[in-house]
Order: sequence, then structure tokens, then C-alpha cells
Amino acid sequence: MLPSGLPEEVGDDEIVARFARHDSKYIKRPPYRPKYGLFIPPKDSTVLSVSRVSGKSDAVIREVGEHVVSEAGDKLYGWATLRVKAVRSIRSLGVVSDEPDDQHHFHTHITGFPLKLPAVPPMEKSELIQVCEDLAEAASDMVLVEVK
Amino acid sequence: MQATLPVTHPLRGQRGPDHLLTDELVHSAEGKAVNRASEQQRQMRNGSYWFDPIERREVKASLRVLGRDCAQADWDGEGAAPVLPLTLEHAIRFIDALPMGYAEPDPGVDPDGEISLSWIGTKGHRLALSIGPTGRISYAHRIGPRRRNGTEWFGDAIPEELLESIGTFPIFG
Repeated sequence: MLPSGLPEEVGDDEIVARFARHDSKYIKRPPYRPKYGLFIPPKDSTVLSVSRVSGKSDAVIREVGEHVVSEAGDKLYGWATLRVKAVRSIRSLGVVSDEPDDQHHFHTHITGFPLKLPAVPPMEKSELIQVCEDLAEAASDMVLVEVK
Repeated sequence: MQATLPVTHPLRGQRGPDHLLTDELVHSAEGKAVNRASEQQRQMRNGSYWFDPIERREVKASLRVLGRDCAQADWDGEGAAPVLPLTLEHAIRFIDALPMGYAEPDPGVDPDGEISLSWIGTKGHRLALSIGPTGRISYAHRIGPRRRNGTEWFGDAIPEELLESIGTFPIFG
């Protein structure tokens, strides 16, 4: 059992949320479809942080998201959700829990991205864009928070 | 001269002197020649902010804001590379090279400092590309089950295959 009380194994039917910080780099104008940039791993990484939010209300998801983005000193702009089964159906992507301590409840990684940025030739960055586009296509519309 | 061309199809774009571009004109061989000539004229009088339609001005303004906001390394708090002036220049030239009558993209920035441009249509219809300081364009396009990704190089014009992909998005989508 993890510190959050969730089982270590992430089930196919679970929902994970990817939080967007307070800017519009990651979101298309109305109807607020997520762009691939929301799902691209950070530089030098092949994993992406998401949070397990199955059964949680928008208010609770927002609270989790505000905690997550505040660690980077930023504000929450919104989030998109994905079904774990849909993530696992894309190429070699996986979903594994990652709660190293009490400060990371619900924290999970999407693993298995095809390459790390920067993509130096002959690496094909387009392979990574394709995978991130697949995630963006499978994701829900963005839920936007009202910025104070 | 342009005003004498018959228009028998719904207008593709209703702005400026390019308003005679119909789908047929855009996609036929004759249409492409007319389009190129028209585009050359536009670019001769252009390079200028004031001749851009408002949507294009907005895209270019967003690009400049992104370029400024992400000009320093670690702009995402996770070690991102900065957007270099040359990358921003390529992205703006790409937008300028996009002929009238094509959908404008939504810009963004990737953690490697490349600028991304996204077109999002109806379900399953997406195109995304990123452009870097060397003019390398990495792209991924999908329409339903059909998918394509690859690399192109941006010179003076948008590669034809990429332009065809962009042309699959309605301008008022």
C-alpha cells in the first residue's frame, strides 16, 4: 500500500490527470483541447508526471493540482484526464505509481516515451511528437480553473 | 486581373485580395500557380505587420510573447532549454510563408526550446510540428487511422507535403 492509501499497481480503469501551469502554451483556444505540449516529458527525461484521480471531484482534483504546481512555484491553469487503459494502448507507454513520500500522494509516472529531448539526429523527434499527440487525442477536454 | 476570375465555389477565405481562393483553386495545378503568383505579390507588399489578417497577427504576437517568456533556460522549472532568437525567427518566417486561406496554428514551446505549432480539427484530426534553430521541422499528422510523421527542413517555403497536411484543416475550424 502506498502513502496515499492507493494500491501500488495502477489499474487499467483508473483515471490520471495531467496538470497545466498558469499559461496557455498547452491548450488550444476554445473548446480547450490539450495540445501535445501538455504531454511532452521534461528535457532529459522519458517519463511524465501525472496524478491518480479516479473517483475524485473537480474540487479535490483542483486541490491536488494546486499542490503539484505550487512545488514548481507556479499556478494551476487547468487539467486534462486520461484513462490508464488508453495510455497503455499507445506504443510502449506504461503507467506506474511513484509516491516516494507523504508529499507526493497520488503521484504517478507515464513511462516509455521513445526518446529524451533534445533529439539529436538521427533521433526522430517526430516519433515523440506522434506519441504525445496520441496522448492529447485520447485526453479529455481541459478543465480550466478560474485564475484569481 | 484577379477580380475577373469566376468564383463558383464557396469562398475558402474572405480576406484581402486572396478572397478568390476556393478549394479547387488551392488544390488544382492551375490553382497552385495562381496561388503562388498571388502569394508572391502578398509577400512583396508584406513582410509587413499591417497587411496580415488579424488571426495571423495574433499568432505572431503570441509567438513573440512565448519567445520572450521562454528566452531563459529552465523556463518550465524542469531544466528546459531557452528559445533562441533564430528559432523564433524561423517560426515567424514559417507563419509568414503560410499562404492565405490556410488555417492558422496554435503556437507553443517544447522543453528543448523548439517552437511548436498545432492544428487541431475534429476528433482524430491533428497536426503538430516543432521548428528549431537550424530550420529542422519535426511533424506528426493524423486523420483518423491514417498517420504520418517525419522530418523536413524549412528553407524559403513550407515543404509541399506539409502544406497539403495543413490544407486539410478548415480555416474556421
